Formats: sequence, structure tokens, C-alpha cells
Amino acid sequence: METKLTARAVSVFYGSSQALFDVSMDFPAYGVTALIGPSGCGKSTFLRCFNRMNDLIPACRVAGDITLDGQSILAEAMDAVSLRRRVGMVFQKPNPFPKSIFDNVAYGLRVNGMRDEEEIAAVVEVALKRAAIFEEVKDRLHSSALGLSGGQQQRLCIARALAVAPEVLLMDEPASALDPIATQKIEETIHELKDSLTILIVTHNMQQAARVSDQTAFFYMGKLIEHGATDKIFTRPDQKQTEDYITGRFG
Amino acid sequence: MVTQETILQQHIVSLRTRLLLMCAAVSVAVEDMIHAFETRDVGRAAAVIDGDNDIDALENEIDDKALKLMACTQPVAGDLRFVVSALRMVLDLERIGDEASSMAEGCILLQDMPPYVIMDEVLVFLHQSRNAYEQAVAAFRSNDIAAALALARTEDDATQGEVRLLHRCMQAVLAHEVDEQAFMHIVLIIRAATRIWRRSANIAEHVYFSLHGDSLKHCPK
Repeated sequence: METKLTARAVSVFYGSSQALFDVSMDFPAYGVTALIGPSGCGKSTFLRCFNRMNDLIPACRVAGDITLDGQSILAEAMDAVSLRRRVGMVFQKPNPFPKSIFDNVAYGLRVNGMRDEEEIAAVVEVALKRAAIFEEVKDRLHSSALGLSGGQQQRLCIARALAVAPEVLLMDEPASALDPIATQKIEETIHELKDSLTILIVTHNMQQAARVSDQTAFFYMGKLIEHGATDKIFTRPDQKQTEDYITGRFG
Repeated sequence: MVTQETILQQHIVSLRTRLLLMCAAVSVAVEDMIHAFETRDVGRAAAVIDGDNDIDALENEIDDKALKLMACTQPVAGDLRFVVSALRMVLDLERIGDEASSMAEGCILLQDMPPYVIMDEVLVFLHQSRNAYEQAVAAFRSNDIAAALALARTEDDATQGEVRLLHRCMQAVLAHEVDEQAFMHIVLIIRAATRIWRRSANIAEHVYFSLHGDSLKHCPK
């Protein structure tokens, strides 16, 4: 199995407070890895390391190493903007720009220098299709994105992330603000995308982790407790802490 | 780490309690059937047959409870294995109840037959079957992985015991120690006792799976 991302002894500090302790794990290419654990366990902090979103937090320091296709992403030589082109992100709350649906998806393309409107239109359509929202918006591409439902806005944000052809997609609780139908569509979208992308998803929903992911990593108090195939984690985890968490005995 | 009992755990405890109740009901049926066979107590044999309806009702109740638990709480890991094991166990328990009932019918049919010598050997086999069942229930009650594993490996003992006993019955018939009509009833009782033993071994497998996570089904010993 090809490895897309590796984390080696990754620790994260917020000032003098350590949020993540020596986390090491590999992420296979073209699969979904779910990061689970109780609030404050460090899973979102860990997720944000992969596109250096933690750079934006004052006093945050990351130690250890993370590689993307064997290349260190924490090295000074790595440009954060080009990294984020390769490693897209979708957040908990849908955050469309106050622009049209089309312009939301085209935004990253234009920022990256694409000028040919025909080419942009083609890429926007493909991105909307990959995010499974094209059929719902194709007749109103130039209407405001803010008029979409929450679930549609989230899929639009996925389309926006996909438009710049990332290799990795980070999803931080992408369905936690959505109803079951919208959640199901997001999960189906993830399922469709995993053949062409490496996806890391943070979720508090155990059933969602079990449904969408191939690998699951359980974090507790900043430490990686257990990591393995999702079916193994959800049927016979090795660690008691994992069992207690996923069966709802704590957290 | 602070732990708390969730609604799921309450449902699990309730399911386990009903399963233990069914185990006890089946235990009474097997015990009464053996007593009826030993003492030719037709009344007790009839009570075993009547009691089978209660065991069937418990099977339905536990089935329903387990399905609702799965649908409403979506258990995982050890909880999931327990519910899956409960659904499997309940089938074996119900079948053991049926076997006890059909053996009780055999006891009634044998009531007017003379006390053949072979009956003592059949009784020993019935006790062995009953012991296997009690061991399975004890392993379940006390979450004893080692006891479950040991019992799960006795299926061949049950078969060998049956073959030996059937051979003895054949010899007894040929020696005119047992008449042919009685032979039929005795053979059916022996076969049912074997099935009780083997289903008890199945229960032990379910207990092992629930506690350990590995399936012993169709595994070489």
C-alpha cells in the first residue's frame, strides 16, 4: 500500500502547553483515515499540521516531522501556500464566500493564475460534479452561494477545495452541522473521492467513522492510543481505552 | 479515567439478564428430562414438554430485544460482539430446549418398557451432556474465556461418546437384551443428548467470540 503522508514523533505546543505527544503514523494513499477521540484530545490539532494551518496560530510550535510523498512539509523550504494547494481543507462549518456558486469554486483557480474563462468553467463543472452538487446547482451557478442549504454549502466548499486538484483533503468534522440527509450526501461524496484522493477526516460521530473510513486512529489526551483498520478498531480494538471510548463508556 | 453507564450499557445488562434467565429455563428442562429418564417420571417428562413454550417465548423476546438494541444504539467492539453472540446463543438454547422436549417424549414412550441394563450407560451419557451444558452456562455467566475454549474443543468427545453408545445398543439388540421398539426410542434419546453437548460447545464458541474477538467456528482444534 502506497504511503502518502507520514508523521514521525509529531508534538504540538501552544506556548508552554503541549497538545500532542510524539505521534507517529502513516497514511495510505487513496483511502480515508478517520481521527477520533474526545474533545481536546488533539485530533484537530494533528489534522491542521498537515497543511500547516497551525502556522497561523500565534505561539503554536510543531516538532517532529511530517512528509508528503517523502518530502518534509515542515521544512522551511516548503512554501505553505503551495502546500495548501496540494493539501485542501474543509471545515466544520460551511464557509462559502459571499459570491456566486460559480465564483466560489473558481476562486482558487483565479488566485492560482488561471485566466481562460472556458477552462475555468470546465474545471468548475468537474469540481461540482465530483462534490456531487452539480445537478442541484447547474441552473443557478451565478446565484449567491449563501442561498444554498447547509449541506449544499458544505459540498460547495468541498468542490472549492477540489477545484485546485489537491492530492490530500483534510476534513474537520465536515458533517457535524448537517442533518442526516445532508450528512449522507457528504459521506457518499467522500466515498466517491477516496479513489482519487487521500482523505483525513476528524469526526465525533463513531458511526460516521465506521462508515466512511478505511483506517481509524484514536487519540486521547494528546496521544495516539491506537491506529489500524477501521473494521478491526470497531469490532475488536487492542486497547481498552479505545474500546471504552467507542462504546461510549467515557468521552 | 471516569466511566459512566450509558443507556447502551443498561440495554446490554438487560439483554444479558434475559439470556441468563433463558439459560436457567433450559437448564431446568435438561435436568428434569434426565430425572424423568432415570425415575420414569412421566409427569416430569410432560412438564418438560409443556415448559418448551416458555423457552420459545424467551427466544422471541431476546431476539426482539437484541434487534432493537442494534437498531437504536448501534453497538461496536465488545458490545457488538456480545449482541451478535446473544443472537447466536439464543438459537442454540432454543434448540437445546427442543432436544430436551423430544427426549422427554422418548421417556414417556419408554415408560412401560423393562429397565434395560443399557439404560444405565445412556444415563451416564445424558449426565455428560448435561455437564457440558452447565459448563457452557458457567463460562457465559463468569466470562471465563479459558473454560469456554476448553468446552468448545469437546465436540469430538460428544461424537465419540455417541458412537460408542450406539455400538453398545446394537450389541444389546443383537443379544436380545433390548427389544427393537425400545431401541428406536433409546437411539433417538442418545442422538438428542449428543446434539445438546454439541450445541453447548457452540455456546462456548459464542462466549469465546464475545470475550476474545476471535471466531472458533470451523477452526481446526
